[in-house]
Amino acid sequence: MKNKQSYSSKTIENRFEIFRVIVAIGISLLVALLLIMFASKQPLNALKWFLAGPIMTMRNFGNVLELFIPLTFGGLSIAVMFQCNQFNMAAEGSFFLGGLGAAMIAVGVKMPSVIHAVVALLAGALFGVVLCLIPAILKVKWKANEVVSSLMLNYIALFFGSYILQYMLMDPDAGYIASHSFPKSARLAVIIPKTGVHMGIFIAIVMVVLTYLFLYRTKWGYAIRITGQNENFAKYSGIGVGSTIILSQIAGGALAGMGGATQVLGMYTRFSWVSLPGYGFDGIIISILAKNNPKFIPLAAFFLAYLRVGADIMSRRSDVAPEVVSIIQAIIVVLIAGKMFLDTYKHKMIVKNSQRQVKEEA
Amino acid sequence: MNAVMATIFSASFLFSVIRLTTPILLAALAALITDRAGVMNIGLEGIMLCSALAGVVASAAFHSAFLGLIFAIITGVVFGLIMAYSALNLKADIILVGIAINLMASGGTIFVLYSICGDKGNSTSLKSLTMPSINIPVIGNIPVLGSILSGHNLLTYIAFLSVFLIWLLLYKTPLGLRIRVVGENPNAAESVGINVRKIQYIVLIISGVLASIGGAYMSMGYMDKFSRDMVAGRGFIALAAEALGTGTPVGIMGSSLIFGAADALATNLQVLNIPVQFVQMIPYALTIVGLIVYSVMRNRKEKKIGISK
Amino acid sequence: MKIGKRLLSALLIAAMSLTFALTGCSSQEAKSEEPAGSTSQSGSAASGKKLNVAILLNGTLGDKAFFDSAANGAKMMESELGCTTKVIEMTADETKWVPALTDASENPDYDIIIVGTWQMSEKLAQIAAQYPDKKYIIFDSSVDYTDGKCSNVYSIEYKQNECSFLAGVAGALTSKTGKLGFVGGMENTVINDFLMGYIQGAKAVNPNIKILISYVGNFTDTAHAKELTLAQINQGADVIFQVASNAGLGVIDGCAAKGKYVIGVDSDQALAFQSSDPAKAQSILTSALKRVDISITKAVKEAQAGTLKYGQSESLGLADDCVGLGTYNKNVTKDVQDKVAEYAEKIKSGSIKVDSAFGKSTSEIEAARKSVRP
Repeated sequence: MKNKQSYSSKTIENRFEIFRVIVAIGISLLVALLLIMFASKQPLNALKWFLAGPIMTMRNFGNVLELFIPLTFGGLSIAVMFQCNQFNMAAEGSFFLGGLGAAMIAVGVKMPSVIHAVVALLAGALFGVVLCLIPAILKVKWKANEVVSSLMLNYIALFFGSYILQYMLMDPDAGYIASHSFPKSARLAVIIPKTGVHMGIFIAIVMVVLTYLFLYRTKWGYAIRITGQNENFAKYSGIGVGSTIILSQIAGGALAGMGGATQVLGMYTRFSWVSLPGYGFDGIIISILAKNNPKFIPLAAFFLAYLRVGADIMSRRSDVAPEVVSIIQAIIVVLIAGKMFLDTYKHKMIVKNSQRQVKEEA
Repeated sequence: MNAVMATIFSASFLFSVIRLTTPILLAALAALITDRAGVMNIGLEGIMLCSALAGVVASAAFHSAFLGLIFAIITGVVFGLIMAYSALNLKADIILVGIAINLMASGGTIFVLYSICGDKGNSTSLKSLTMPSINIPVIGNIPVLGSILSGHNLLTYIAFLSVFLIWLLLYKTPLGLRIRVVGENPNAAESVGINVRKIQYIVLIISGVLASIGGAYMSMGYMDKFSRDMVAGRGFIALAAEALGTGTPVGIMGSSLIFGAADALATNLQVLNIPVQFVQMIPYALTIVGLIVYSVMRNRKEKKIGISK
Repeated sequence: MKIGKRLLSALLIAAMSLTFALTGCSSQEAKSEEPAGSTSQSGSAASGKKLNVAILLNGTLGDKAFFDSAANGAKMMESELGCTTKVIEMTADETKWVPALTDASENPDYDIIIVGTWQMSEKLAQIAAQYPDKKYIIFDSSVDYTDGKCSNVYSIEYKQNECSFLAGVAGALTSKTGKLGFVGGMENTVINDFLMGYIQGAKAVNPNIKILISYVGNFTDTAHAKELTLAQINQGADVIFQVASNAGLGVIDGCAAKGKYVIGVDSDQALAFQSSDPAKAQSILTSALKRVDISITKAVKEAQAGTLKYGQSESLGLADDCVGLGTYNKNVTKDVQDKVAEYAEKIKSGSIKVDSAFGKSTSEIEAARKSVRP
């Protein structure tokens, strides 16, 4: 027992959290494995593509990085709002409107290179903020349930966006419902040739750092976290709960909107979204995987991107449908969000540790 | 315009309102029962979708619509149990569990559909069955009223019957009393010896049953096939209907009927000279307006009570 | 500690089976690839080259229409031409399309890569330039050939407005109420192209015809499509043309329930329902066909013979048997069928030019819709 030292219970908890995430991922992958075995005629072949496909060529890995960008934005947006304990689902709609806003600037005005893209990104962020603000204001002002109002707003954003696209942005010569093509000045340049990985990856990383600093190094971030942990305590310690809730939705909406803008300007030549992109809901999975901490968001986003790209490659090369990923995701979310999952084991660890501590002291 | 007005005040329009209300009403009741016990079930959309598929597959496999419905309900119960275990035993936030179920259902049903039918769009290759439509003997013969109320699918009548059953359960049984106590104050409920976890397990199971009947209605009543994402947001609309339903079964029937009517209206207004996108927005915009009105009224009421105290 | 041990062992098993899976299947892969490679080589040496064709669909199978028709083309190529084919669903997620197309382009096994729809045309143009040695076919759209680009791409366009013109003729002649219906999935140019031909065809035989026009808003909500159909029937429509992919099942269901006629789309939907649901097949008046299967098989056949005109676009219509009407309902009279055939001849000969939605602005299309609004 000599060389085994005791830890503070906080270190144990942190270590335990990591362990828990790994076990949850392990279990879900195991289920995926069983499903693939069940569904495929050549399960081993399917598995190979699923697990190793994304790193077999640079281009496949490029796909992972491409997907990593919007997933990071989605995760950050949700994390800021979840930290404040606000289940605002309008991030999904904000992502969509952010793309639309960026497209409007990209197609509608002429500007010099870099500035054009920056203005388009900011416009996207602004669109995102407007949408995410609505459920927040309804909640603060009239205590209207933000889950319900934001779910409905997503549909309104979609139909509103399709109207704008069809009646204001549409290029009749495109042959399908799409805007005029974006000028080069507004597009985000590709940085890895032969892949679609674009400048947006840097923007995403910068936003990760900024969001972390905002949440953990500013008084606003502090207010958001305290409000999320205990609204009553926040009230007593003099934090304006209402304005804090609104602030967190502004930040979340801006991140989602900018994510939509980055995606549209980086991955598309025209705006042609006719359905919600889904990155807002993906953001929930990522944020939960990352424990709502911006520090871990890139890791979680990378993991999910890897899974998705692996599943796509698998479906192209074998007979397994890529939708198997959705089952993996659900299991991961439930197990990680489940505070009591492996709890007895954690308690044992803590008890053992304190026994050790007692021994050492004695 | 006159043509539209004529349609709206026709018997067939009101018939379609009832038809459109059915899935929303069932899911809204499912939302109500959990909400009264202090649990928010936003996984209804996913449960409906999974049950819709289960019903179709089972009815084709066993050549029996009734067994199809039973399997749909079993699916709903299983999901109710999964939600309950995750939220109550594993202590995951129930909203996150609901989201997880919705995320899973959309892809998972396609995965299963593909494994069974080799088709990712719909179940046309399965010879599935539907629940029968019922002509009510006496009412069916009354001129206008008969053509509105009679001839619906069996599940539609079950939906409206459920309003009464849930009312009975909530207000006339000991279990109902417990459910309401748990919802209002779980700590107090615990202190008088009510097993809160057990009650919440029960409501999530009931919720699963109701939502699954709603799902079965989509694929075995409304339509006679399963097709991908066929629930198309009705589970979310139901949450809104529940939020506006003043927390009572009858109130929820009212708000569900409003949504059914809004949907029917949106369907009929497409012939007018309005961009189709705005017409499609009607049900959702109405929800938000309704939510605001309801919240404002509730706040005023609460303030009044506060003052009188 | 018990739980921990159990978990650990579970994880270990998972890890072991994964490594096993990886190593196991790489050897299997090597084994299976070798003979395949050798046969294809000997095959090409002996008889004229049997092509290996990949068909990339930017959607999913199961629409009982457009994409299924392309998959049927793959079967036709296998049985008629002896090709090896692989159908890949790229799903509706646009960000996956370029990766999947690049992936296929880099796969040395594929001789010809087939994609479809307007959404793919710009993407294909980019990628085809990067892989000049590969051959591509795009259906239902054309790439931009100006400046001699895309010399390795053959484009097939369909005159869907021609078959929908005939659908309009058949519908207007069958309708007793003088009101037709049109249920589209979403407003987009191809759907509206169908609509333009439909309106023109219906007006050609009955200048006073009224057409109720609705859009589902997506291609999946069958229940909403059914509701729109029932509303149109309530407002007097007795023949309804559906162009709504999966959601179109709802239109067929609604018409079957009310004893009205529906006109199917893309593939012969009466045949599709014949065995599984005869009652529904009864309510299908006819189908407006876009023969993706025939057209791509024809193209691959020409490619096999070495006569396919890469670097060009061809617009295939009634004259090429690549669009047209499917089997008629048994209640359609000979008079109606003759009339339709008459108009078909006029279109083939060029004496009737059918309206198109391509190049039209939203307001121009709105004007056409207005002209038949009741």
